[in-house]
Amino acid sequence: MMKKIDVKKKMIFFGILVVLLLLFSVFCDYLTPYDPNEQDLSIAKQAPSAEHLFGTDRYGRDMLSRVIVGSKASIFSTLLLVAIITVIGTIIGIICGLSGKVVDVVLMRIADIFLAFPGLVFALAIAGVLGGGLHNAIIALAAVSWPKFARLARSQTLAIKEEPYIEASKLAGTSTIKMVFKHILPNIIGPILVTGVLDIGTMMMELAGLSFLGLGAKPPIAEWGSMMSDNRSMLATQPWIVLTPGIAIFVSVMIFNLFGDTLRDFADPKSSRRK
Amino acid sequence: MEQILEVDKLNCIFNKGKKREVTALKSVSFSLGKGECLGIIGESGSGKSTVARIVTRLLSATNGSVMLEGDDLNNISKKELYKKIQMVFQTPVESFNPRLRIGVSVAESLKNAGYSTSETKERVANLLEECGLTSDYANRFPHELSGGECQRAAIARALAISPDILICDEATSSLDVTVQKEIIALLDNIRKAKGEDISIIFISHDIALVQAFCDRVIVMNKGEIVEMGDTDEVIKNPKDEYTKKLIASVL
Repeated sequence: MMKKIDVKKKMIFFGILVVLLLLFSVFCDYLTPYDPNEQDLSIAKQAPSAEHLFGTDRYGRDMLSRVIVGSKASIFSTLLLVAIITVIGTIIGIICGLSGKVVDVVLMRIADIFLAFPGLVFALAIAGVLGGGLHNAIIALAAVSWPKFARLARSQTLAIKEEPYIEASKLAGTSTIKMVFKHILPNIIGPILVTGVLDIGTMMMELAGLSFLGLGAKPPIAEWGSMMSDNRSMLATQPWIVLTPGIAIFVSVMIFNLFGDTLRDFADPKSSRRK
Repeated sequence: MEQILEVDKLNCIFNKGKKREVTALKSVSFSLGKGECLGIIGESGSGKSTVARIVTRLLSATNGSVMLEGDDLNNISKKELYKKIQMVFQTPVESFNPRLRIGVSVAESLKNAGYSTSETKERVANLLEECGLTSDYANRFPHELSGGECQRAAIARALAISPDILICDEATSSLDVTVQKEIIALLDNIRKAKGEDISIIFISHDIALVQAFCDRVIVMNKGEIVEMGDTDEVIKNPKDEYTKKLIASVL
């Protein structure tokens, strides 16, 4: 009983951190000390100081402002990506689980094909074909990441579709669409949401990875991955230019992962971590 | 007696992969009269539940026909069918969506049939009271009810739409003996109140319950009907070997 409260407290704590992070990225435009895109070559490559806490990059742009503004592109594109794959994956999974037979086989084999490739490499190929840009990076990662959610939703649907309450609702004359929203979705959404939240961290890294390889955000948009990529040659000489966005990625990924972890522990009464 | 349900030469074969077939029903024929209570007994796997699932179209038969009031079951839309046939399941708690309040589950068939919100609410309250619960049970969740209470609610749900046929598939099997008695008493009251308006198929492996409750009984073994007749006669004077064994095995 004691431990249950602990998990709840932990979840609230990390939940607040997540909300703060989101608020931060919503209002990031008002939080910057300098214009993140204003170039001043006279102060280029300055080390962190009281005036520029994170230093400046090679064009003399304030790194702190750029990291703050970068949160918008990084966090919101990640959330959009996770939302897309969760929704698409869940819809396809439920369709497979309910229909069975040919539809199920065809859709799941397509999912298998996507799962058989190393994700990031495949995403690279798609992003390469579509061309750079944040939108295309999101499409590329969404294309390779939905099968995981489809498989999860399918197995959950299969597990509950023979439950007596589903049959009872069939006997009540409920249509299939209504059944999905009233009986199936509410009972399978828990694990899917938890997986989704846990995936935010991974997706943020992969998006940053694509940006790092030059297939994500285009300059001058501040995005953490591309900021690291653009300046990687200066890692030895002016490390703050590369490290500050790196730390920003690290911290936000950590927050989302820890929140996902506690959410999973909270959702699963049998979790060993509760003991 | 006028027949409401006629089951003719029902066969059901499950395909379990290559060349592995399980015959669940072999040429099962019986009929159910208006206002009658028909018991189906037999051991686990004898095909009792398969009959129930075919009659409610949760499963389709390999061949054979089921006629409801003279119409072939397959020609009746499911929407119409479920206004006439309802079922009470073996597992009371599991037959309610854990995330919905009892009232919402009981009201589901009424809502689907187009009852207004106020009508539905009133009817649900009445139903719950008829089934020995109070109307505030509508606001509770399934896990807050005992097995017996849940089964009462399940009966209330099955009766909501005033069906002509009620199928109780092992409805008392997972309950303890005293609660079993109460549920049987409840079903008995419903029969008395509705008279000819409700026919019951009572599936059970408990011979004593069937004897106490049913007019006629069917004995099933390995997917076949081995004996059929008036309850008292079958139990006192079994003709088939399997029936004899089944009755002898009661402690």
